[in-house]
Amino acid sequence: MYKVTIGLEVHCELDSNSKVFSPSINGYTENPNSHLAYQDLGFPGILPIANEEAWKRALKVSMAMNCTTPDVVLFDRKNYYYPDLPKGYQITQMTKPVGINGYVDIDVNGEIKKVLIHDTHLEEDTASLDHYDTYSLIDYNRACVPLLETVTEPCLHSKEEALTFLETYRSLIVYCGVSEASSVGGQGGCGVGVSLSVAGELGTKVEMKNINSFYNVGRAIDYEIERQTEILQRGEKVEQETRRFDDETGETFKMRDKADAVDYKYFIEPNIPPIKVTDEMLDEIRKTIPMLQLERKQKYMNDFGLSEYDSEVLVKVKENSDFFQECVDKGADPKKACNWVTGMLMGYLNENEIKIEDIPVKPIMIKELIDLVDNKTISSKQAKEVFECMIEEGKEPNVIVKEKGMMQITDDAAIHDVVMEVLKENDEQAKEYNPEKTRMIDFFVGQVMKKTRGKANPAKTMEILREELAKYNK
Amino acid sequence: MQKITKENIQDYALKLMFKMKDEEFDSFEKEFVTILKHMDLIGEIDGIEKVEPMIFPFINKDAKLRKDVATSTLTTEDAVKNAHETIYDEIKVPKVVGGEQ
Repeated sequence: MYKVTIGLEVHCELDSNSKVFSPSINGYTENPNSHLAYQDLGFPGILPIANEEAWKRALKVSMAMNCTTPDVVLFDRKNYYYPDLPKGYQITQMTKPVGINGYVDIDVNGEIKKVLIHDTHLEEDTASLDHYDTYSLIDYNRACVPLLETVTEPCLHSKEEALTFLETYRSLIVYCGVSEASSVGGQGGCGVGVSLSVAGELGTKVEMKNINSFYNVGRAIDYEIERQTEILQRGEKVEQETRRFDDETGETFKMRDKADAVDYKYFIEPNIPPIKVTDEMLDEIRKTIPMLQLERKQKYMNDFGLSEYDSEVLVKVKENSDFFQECVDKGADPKKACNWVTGMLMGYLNENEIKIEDIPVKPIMIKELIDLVDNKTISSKQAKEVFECMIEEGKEPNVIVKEKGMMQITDDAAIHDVVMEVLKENDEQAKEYNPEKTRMIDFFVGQVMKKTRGKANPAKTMEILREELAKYNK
Repeated sequence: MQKITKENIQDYALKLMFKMKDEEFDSFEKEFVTILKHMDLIGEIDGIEKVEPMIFPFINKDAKLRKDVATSTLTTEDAVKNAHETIYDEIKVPKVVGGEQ
């Protein structure tokens, strides 16, 4: 068998108010060519000025991936001509990218693997082109939108590892709050390099560009492994080339070989003077990096004793995980808080297709609800009723319990009085009582509950009933 | 230092999409010989390999990043003014397919 080696490139548009090198709006619009400034169209005499927020967001991702950060903000020009690139060059980073030599931990079936990051760099997006039979149309709104490209080392050895990395990277972006999940691998998509090697000898790399979804990255890898295996089995050599993935057929086609490699004539962008990256800036950004998905999952399993399944459910959406963590921070028992959050709460969110931030329930309310059950003020069954009321009306659990008169009767004397009343009214059954017949005790519990409208503490009721019934027949 | 041949220049011209006459290639080749000689001279300076290339003469302490405030400075009308033809405010160009990033 051949050893598969995969390297990935993944693009992600960053959220910001304005574009990366121009002050026009970075946001969706249905009106073509309406979010524009002179810089986006490459007018003569324009000067790009880098957006501080886009830079900081890129740095945040770089630091979250444990990359080495640069000492100065510096950009390069990548020169090529295409109608979606009005200046004839793209402002990107090569000399001093926003991050180099990092790593991201991924969990492949319970095994932690370090994926090495070659670099991550900030650049401008291109305009969008629509192709028709005899012409193409250009909308420049997307030109100059901040785009982050992250490149891994060729250190992945299966489709599964590659896809796990992409999912982990997507969650990192979303957890860092720098972009939407749909932007990762969206515009610009993913690039994949696949090579097959025999007995430690490095194979020939075949690259595929602009693959538009993680699903298609998987298909492209499958196809390339099969294609290159066939070539090697025939005793032939795999050619170093760039191929295009066709998502209709799931096949890859030759675009150009090594000899046709484009020379982008990179040089440092002279219009953006280098700006020193200060320690203060780095510290400020470092403080905003949240604990990431995998680390949270491990914490839930190791520190809170939650199951792998529950931990995964909790960390899937950052806001849900934040909510759960706040319940614990407020003093709730992690297992009980997890049961409420992954059970009733997420059930409600899924059923109504809403997000946790759309409901009035706050973490402190979950903690209070757990306390009410723990100190036997209400039963677990009543707690569900309180929860439903909490989520519908946004009231605090203590208020609901009072309003609905749900306080359990936990006072021994009060329960004792009711028990005696029940035994008196059911004298015959009480005389026939046999401790081995559980149904009989259930009957008496039922009667006590009927009289107290379900408010008697079930455990206490049972305890007093047993005592009194034992005495009754003596 | 790498020698620049006529073939190199022809290749660059093709990639840069410059149409050049044969005699221009010859004169370029000669000019490159002179340029490379100068480069070799610089290369002979003691300890030159330890000198970092100068990107800018100094870091301008006043240079700042731009605050993330959006303002659209161009109307759609102005943005497409120079286009030969537009369809629903998009700029029409001869068909191009392919390209990359």
